[in-house]
Formats: sequence, structure tokens, C-alpha cells
Amino acid sequence: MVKRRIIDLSATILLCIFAVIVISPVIIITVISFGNGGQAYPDVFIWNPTFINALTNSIIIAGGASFGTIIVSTLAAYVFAKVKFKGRDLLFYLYVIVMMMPFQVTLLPQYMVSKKIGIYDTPLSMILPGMFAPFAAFLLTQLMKSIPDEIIEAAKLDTGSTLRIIVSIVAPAIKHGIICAWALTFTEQWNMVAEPLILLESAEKFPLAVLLNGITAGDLIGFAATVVFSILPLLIFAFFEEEIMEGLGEYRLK
Amino acid sequence: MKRAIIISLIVLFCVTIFIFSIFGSEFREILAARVTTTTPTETYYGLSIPASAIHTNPDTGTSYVFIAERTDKYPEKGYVAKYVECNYSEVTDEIASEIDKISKSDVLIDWLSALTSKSIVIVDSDKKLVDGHMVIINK
Repeated sequence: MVKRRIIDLSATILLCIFAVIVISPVIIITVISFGNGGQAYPDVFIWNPTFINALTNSIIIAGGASFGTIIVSTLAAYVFAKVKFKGRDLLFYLYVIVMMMPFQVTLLPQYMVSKKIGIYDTPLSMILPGMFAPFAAFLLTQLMKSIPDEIIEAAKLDTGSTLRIIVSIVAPAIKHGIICAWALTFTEQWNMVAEPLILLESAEKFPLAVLLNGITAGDLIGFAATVVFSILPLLIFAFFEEEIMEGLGEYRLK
Repeated sequence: MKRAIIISLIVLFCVTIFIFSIFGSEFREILAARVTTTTPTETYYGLSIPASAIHTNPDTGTSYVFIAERTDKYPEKGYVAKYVECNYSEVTDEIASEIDKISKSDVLIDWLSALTSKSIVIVDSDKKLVDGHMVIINK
């Protein structure tokens, strides 16, 4: 009994130490950024128009791509999970292969396509490829497979519209998964650095992740910019914490 | 309750970004320092500028001037204050009498500084100047 308690106590102490190590950079940066009476924040918001512009670009790109992902992935997942047709599994495996590929492999084709269809150097060149992120479709497919086919069949007899079945039966049933996929895609798009450098040309269209390096010149303004940059993903995680945990938990159980 | 607080913070964050994105240039114009400028005069002894343009760092003793630099950067065109370190010497009676263009209230900047005869030197300002902040030149 005593031995068990000692093990528990040691594990707790060890976890606390790890937690401090992980969280300390965030705390240090936040504390330093408020040095000099918090003067760095007005400097960032008022005297650094590039920062606000880049932050707006980040919100447009990450918001657009993540909402688009949810629409595309939910429809794709329904097809992979519930519609039977020849070559469905092959198509799904292709999707999974794309997910496993390093993203640098698909960058050049994305660049060529965006040039060809005339969206190069626009936010759309970031949003459109982001909408077809395979991870969200993969996650939602696994979750949709858990919905019994009988329910879908019954709903088909009742409404007849596939879109209505997805909106009113399938989507509410995997609500946590959808929110989880949205939050993960948003964070992924928010942190992107390599894609904007290839798919965008004008500096005023770059998201903040790309320009943060230039703003972070080692002074207080850099620390304040970093803190502001991390606020939105943290708030989103705090808001959807339960859904993200449950979404990933359900996915792991499949 | 927790969700209400977080959603309020998200809304506050987005509204702040929206306000500074739309009205940022107005804020900068209101808060920018109004400055009086001049251009240095080239003389045999160096560049001559009014002594009021010279600032000295009390901790390091380094002398510097602020110049107004034209910026075409997004989103607005204008002038920003730029910190330039320089060494100077005072104008002696002999130099002042020798060269008509300069007076005893001027200082001479040595040729090795980054200042040029085309630089727009800030002589006077209604606010404390900060490197990189926008300034408005008085007409």
C-alpha cells in the first residue's frame, strides 16, 4: 500500500515537472511581453500595420480552409462510409496515402494548378487545397462507419434526400468529430509557413506565421506579437476542449 | 459560464483585430508626432544641422538624430522616424565666420555617419520620437 502511494506520488511529481517544462516557454514569453508597462502591445497593434494585416490574412485563410474542410470532408466521409460503389476502398486508400505523404510532395502540383486556374497569389490558393485536407475526411469516415446502416436506410425511406440525411442525422451523430476536425484543421492552417511562401507572392497577402519571424526581432514587440498570435488557437481549444477530446477518443476506439 | 467567457474573449479578439485593421491608419495619424524637419547643409568640415536635432543617450553617451524616412509599405504611405547614430562637433567662431551657410547654433556631423545631405532630419517634435513610428511633417 505504502509502495503504491510512493509510486503515485513520484508519478505526480514527475508529471508536474514535465508540465512546468512544457508550459514555461509560454509563461516566460507572456511575462516578458508585458515588460516596460506593456508598451509592446500598442506598438504591435497601432504602429505595426503589417502585423494586423497578416493576422487578418491568417484568420481569413485558416477560417476559410477549416470551414471548407468540414463541408468537403463530411460529404466525402459519407460516401466512403455509407455509399457502396466499385473502387470505393481503393479511392479511400488513395486518400490515406495522400495523408501519409510529406506535404512538400504536393506543393509543386498545387503551385502549378493555382497558376493555371488563376488563383495564384490570392487567399484562395491557400484555402482551396486546405479544404481537401485528407485527415479530416479520414477521421470522419472512421466515425461514420460506427453509425448503423439501418438508421441510414430508414432515413432514406423517410426523406429520400442524401443531403438531408447527412445534415439532420449523420452530422449530429458525429458532432464531436466534426468539431475536432475543424479545430485541428484550423490550427494546422494557422501555423502554415511553407505553403504561403510557395502559393503567395505579395508580402501583404502573407499570413502571420510567415511574417512572425520578421516581427520577432528579439525585442518586446516580438514577444507581444507571439502572444497575440497564439491567443486564437488557445481560445478555440479552450472552447471546444470537450469536443476535441471526445472526437479524438471516439476515433481511437474505432 | 466558462464557454460564455471564452466566446466573449474570441469576439473581443476578432473585434479588436477588425477595428485596428479598418481604423489603424486613423489611429496612427492621431497619435503620430508632428515634426519639423530640415536637410543637412554640406560644408567642407562635414554636414551641418541645427543643434536641436541632436539627442544624447544619458546611459551610453551616444549621440543620435532621428530622420524622417519615406515608406511606401502597405497599408499606407507616409514617413517614419528612423534612429541614426552620429558623431558631431560644435561649430566654432572661426568656422561660423568662415562659412556663411552655418551658424553657431548648428553642429557638424562627421562624414562617416549614415546621414547624407538628402536625409530629412527631424529638428523638433511635439512628442517623444520612437524608432519606426509614423511621423507627420509640419508644412
